[in-house]
Amino acid sequence: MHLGAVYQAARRLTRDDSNARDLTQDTMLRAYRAFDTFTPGTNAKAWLLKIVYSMFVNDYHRTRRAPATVTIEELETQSGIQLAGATEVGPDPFGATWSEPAIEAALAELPEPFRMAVLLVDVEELSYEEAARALNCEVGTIRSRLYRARRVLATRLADVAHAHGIDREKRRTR
Amino acid sequence: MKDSGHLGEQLVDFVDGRLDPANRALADEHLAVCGTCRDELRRIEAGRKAARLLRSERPVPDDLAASIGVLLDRQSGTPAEPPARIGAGRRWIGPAAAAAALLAIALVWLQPWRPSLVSSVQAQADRVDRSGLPDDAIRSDDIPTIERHLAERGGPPLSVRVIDLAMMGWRPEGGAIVRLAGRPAALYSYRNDASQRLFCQMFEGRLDELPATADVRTHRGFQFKVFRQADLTLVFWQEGPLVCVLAARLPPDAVVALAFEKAMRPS
Repeated sequence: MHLGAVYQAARRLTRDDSNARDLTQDTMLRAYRAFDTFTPGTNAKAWLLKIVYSMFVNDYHRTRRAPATVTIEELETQSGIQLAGATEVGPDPFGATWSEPAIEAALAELPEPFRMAVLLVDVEELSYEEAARALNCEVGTIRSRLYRARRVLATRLADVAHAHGIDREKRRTR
Repeated sequence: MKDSGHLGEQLVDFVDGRLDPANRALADEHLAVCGTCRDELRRIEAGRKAARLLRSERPVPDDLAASIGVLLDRQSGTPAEPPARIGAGRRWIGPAAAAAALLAIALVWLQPWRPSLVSSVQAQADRVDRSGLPDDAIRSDDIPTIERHLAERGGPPLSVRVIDLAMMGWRPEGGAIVRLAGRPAALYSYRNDASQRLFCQMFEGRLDELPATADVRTHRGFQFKVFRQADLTLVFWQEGPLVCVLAARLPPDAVVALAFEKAMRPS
């Protein structure tokens, strides 16, 4: 019944177990009350995740302190990434094997709209269209967020790997 | 292509298999001569791959499931224990109450959620059509190789047979263990000369878990449940403890004919 997916999404959004439990309960309650808006045969998980994300953005954000994040532009600058794509990388700096905590940490650095796009499409396996409906935005916005988020995510992880000596290739940026 | 002369955000569509053949060919041409875009592609693929490593599902704490059961129970008007609002002062729920709450969850939620199994099969088919087999899939047209991979990854319950459809013009292209509505499933796919794709998925379950459908057929003592989701035909049947499904963007009778031919009782 996708309770696991809801709880996991709530944990990743709130980054706090107590808040995640509250958000999960509230989501299931709202889903129960709004069940007549669910169309049988459509993606039930996407429908539930839309509720989680909507509740998180509309309710939890307003009432609870969200961890501060930097802007995507700042992250791109820190990572030596230019938006136009004119960044050169050395031979396979992305070949390291990453641990789940390292990925979670890199993901947590992303500004929320970008993190949400990655979570919905790459982690929760929603289509761009389903993710756009969940986040109430255009499909093109999802594409744009995925583009920038994945670049930053990969670069941050490569930096971590490099710092730990996992990747010994020199990464060049210009 | 962007004004900068680089592919830019189009690379995301490229990686996710969302470009139409003409644009994909153009992107391939550009990538062949543009090192910057190739580097970008590697970066985007790496970011996607990293995020996808987080896909494993964690169990829901029992007390959370139970407290949600109680909340929903109250919503449905059934007298129940007071809700255990976990975030605001945790309350212990005894085993009997927890069991009742879980039963309430099952009664309230499982019934309306049944279609998700069909939707899940459809979603997996859509995903493979869009992005190809998952990263951890085996890519091979050799049936024993695919069967070994599925058995290694899925364990004994998913040591499934890969149906040989060579006589019907379908060549296997690989397989993987995926999740269908929260349960593990063996998925493998085929291609034919017309580049059409056919999917087979097998998972532990019962045919009566599926929603009702007007299109139920019987053949050689098997019952086949047929669903149409957009242009996708899905044909389900039972083989021992496994539910099997063939799915393709073909007319129902074409997929049903394949299922009729290949349904097999476990030895």
